[in-house]
Amino acid sequence: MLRTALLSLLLGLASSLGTIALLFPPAQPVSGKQASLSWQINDSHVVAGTLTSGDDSLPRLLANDQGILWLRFPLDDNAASVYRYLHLSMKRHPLDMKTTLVWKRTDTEEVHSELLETLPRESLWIHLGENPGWDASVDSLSLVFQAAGGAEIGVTDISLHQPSRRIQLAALVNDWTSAAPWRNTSINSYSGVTRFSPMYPAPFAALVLLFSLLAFAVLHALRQGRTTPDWRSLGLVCLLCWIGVDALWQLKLGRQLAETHRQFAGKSSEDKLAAGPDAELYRFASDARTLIEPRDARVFVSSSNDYRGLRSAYYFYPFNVHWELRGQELPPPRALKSGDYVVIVQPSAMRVLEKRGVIDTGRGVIGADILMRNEGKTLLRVR
Amino acid sequence: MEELLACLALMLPTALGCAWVTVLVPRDTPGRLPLAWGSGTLLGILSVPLLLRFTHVLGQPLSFTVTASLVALLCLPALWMLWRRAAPAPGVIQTPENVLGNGEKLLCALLAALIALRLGTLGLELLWRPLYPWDATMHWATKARVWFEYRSIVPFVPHAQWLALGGEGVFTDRHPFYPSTIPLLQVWMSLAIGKWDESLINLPWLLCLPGLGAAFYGQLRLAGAGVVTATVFSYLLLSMPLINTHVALAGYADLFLGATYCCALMSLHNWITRREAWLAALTLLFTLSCLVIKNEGFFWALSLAPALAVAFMQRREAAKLVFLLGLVGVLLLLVLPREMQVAGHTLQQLAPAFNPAALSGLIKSIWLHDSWHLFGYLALMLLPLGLLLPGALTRQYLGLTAALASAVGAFLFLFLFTGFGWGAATLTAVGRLSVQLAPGIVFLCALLFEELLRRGRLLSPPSTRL
Repeated sequence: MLRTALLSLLLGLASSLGTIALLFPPAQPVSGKQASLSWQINDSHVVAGTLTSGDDSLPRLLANDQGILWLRFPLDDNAASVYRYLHLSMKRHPLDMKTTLVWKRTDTEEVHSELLETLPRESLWIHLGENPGWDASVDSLSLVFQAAGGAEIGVTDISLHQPSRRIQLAALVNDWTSAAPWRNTSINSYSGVTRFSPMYPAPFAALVLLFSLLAFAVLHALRQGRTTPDWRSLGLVCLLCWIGVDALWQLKLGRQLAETHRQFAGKSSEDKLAAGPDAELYRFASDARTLIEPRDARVFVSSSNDYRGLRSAYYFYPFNVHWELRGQELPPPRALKSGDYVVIVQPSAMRVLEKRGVIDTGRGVIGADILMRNEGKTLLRVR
Repeated sequence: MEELLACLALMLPTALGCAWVTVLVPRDTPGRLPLAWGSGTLLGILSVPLLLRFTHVLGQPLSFTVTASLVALLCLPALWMLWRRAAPAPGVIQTPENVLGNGEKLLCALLAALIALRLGTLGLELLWRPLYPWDATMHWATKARVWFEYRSIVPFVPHAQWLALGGEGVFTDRHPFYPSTIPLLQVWMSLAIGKWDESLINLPWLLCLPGLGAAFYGQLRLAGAGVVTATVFSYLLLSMPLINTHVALAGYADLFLGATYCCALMSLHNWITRREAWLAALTLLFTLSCLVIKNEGFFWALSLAPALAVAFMQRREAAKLVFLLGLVGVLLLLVLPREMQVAGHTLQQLAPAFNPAALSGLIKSIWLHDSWHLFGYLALMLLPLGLLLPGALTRQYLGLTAALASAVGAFLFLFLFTGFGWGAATLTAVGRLSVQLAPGIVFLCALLFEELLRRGRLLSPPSTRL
């Protein structure tokens, strides 16, 4: 039974790969063009950050004080339509680094930027051709790295490639096995891919399953004629396909766990928040809370950005918080009374007129004193 | 110390639930241990919010010591009954179906190891990560934070009412009238450790997943599934990415609702086939639990009515009754005032209008994305096969099928024909509601697969073992 199931699965896998190879053949290489276009770091235009010579053969790339390293590489006419795959290889890089690809189309003057959703990897193949904005009119490609200020980022290879079966497969495997950090949407769905993936893993596994079942039916007919099949064998084929896609999920969970461990392990509840994705909002709220009294004080949180408003409001509980999702940022001025607190988190339609000591809500003004102000976040007390 | 107290906060209700369910379940029940542990864990955890509400009604401040003492007290009669009954447990009857070959043992061990690995990964993620998902910080943990601070279930009201009252004695958030069960679970954990901890408050979610898995396994065994089928389908259920995500990013009510609804369905199915009182009791308890976890629980609880009709009436009569009730429902929808609320939603929101965009969202969510691995395809294979098996869906599993068909019908109606279609088009609510229904559908799929095996065994000569 096991042998039949495994043989069916192997045949199913081979048939699926064959079908996909037939249905999605790589474009023919363009004659006169090299199979790949490899850039030297020294050829790049460093828009932000520093490029110096390093100890080894690698040039040293350092992020600027704001933690940005921006490299721009020129592209010949029509090169983007030929080179559809990007290979990015790194030797040293900060673990919390974010990488964004930026390019501009000369025909529409449209700037495209794509944040790589995956956690940094030493070698990464990206199918740029999946993005409709990557076309012949692209005249340069930028890589923007975001890390801590002054961080060293060791890039060993940036190259563009013409499609081939090997590269297609490498990009697909890279995409399916890369871990994307948790996002707000993670609680609603899990696609299994990034925006650069040409294919979802679940339908592929279903295709393997379909071909495996067909292979099983053929094998069964050849060996035992028209007898009833052993449903356990069929179940085993299904299970093995399931374990295949589940292994990808487990791999991603493991990679995410390593990232979570790096970010939060061993920290107190407060330190976790201070190190988390809302660190800036939490730190402000944490400092502002020390200025608010009594414990049932009313705190009105105002922001036109849903996420920033939501998180800021949460960090002010258990005070008596008022924040409305997609409602009026602040209630009418008459609803506020002396001793209330207002937290304005940018972006916000509320304007603080410091000299007049008022908040202009657009529907009237509220007299208030600024208690604290920090990078687009303001705490005020109503007079 | 905090970790120890957190463990105690989990162990006490688990012990309470397990002890009482063990008292209820007859000793010779197949899959008794996992069934009692799983169902008991879920019921025990969900009893804590009730006890906290009870102490609040008595005018007492919310307290770990008082509530824990109550839990311990409630445990005592069950433990005494178990002690009185203590006699050597009957050995497991070794029928040819539950004697496993080496290959089958190996497969079960492998799947158990994969489940353990998954639980370990999710557990560490939950322990290290602070509260993260959107709704958790919008209307679940907000209440928990305030109730823990005040040691009292102070009222939450809508924004307009809060403004009218000047915020005196009341609080507000996005959904002030959502049931208090989930926030009270977080309050319970906070009371135990004596402070607000953004990670430890979520530990009940980690207990919910194995609780669901064990109850699922036990109920499948009770329904006649073999050890291998029960283990395989338990693994399928516990490995689904979206269900896993609801543990890793704990803080939503959907996993608890999915677990309780599934348990209610499973108990009901087994009660229909066995007519044992303890199964009726479990069905009732889990159905009531659905109502106190999230508003949708009302509709899922209602979906059990067709199953009951099937259980008590001739099929033809039951079909007539269900059709009639459906008609009454539609009429009420047309006649009642638009502003009237049903389970937290106005009838205006439920007014029928086709949303074509929602259809692509549904397909994407179930068959293209990996939220459910291959479950969408598995259901596509097994449910039609079930129709081809004479009497399977139409007689043997009719109650379960009727309940699930009603629930899935309501799910499709909600997304395809009401104002909630955006929840499918934007791939938001559709995933979360699927978490509530998927475990029950996996149970039906498992039963159908077992039926295929059983009928295959009858038709073909004994085959070699795995």
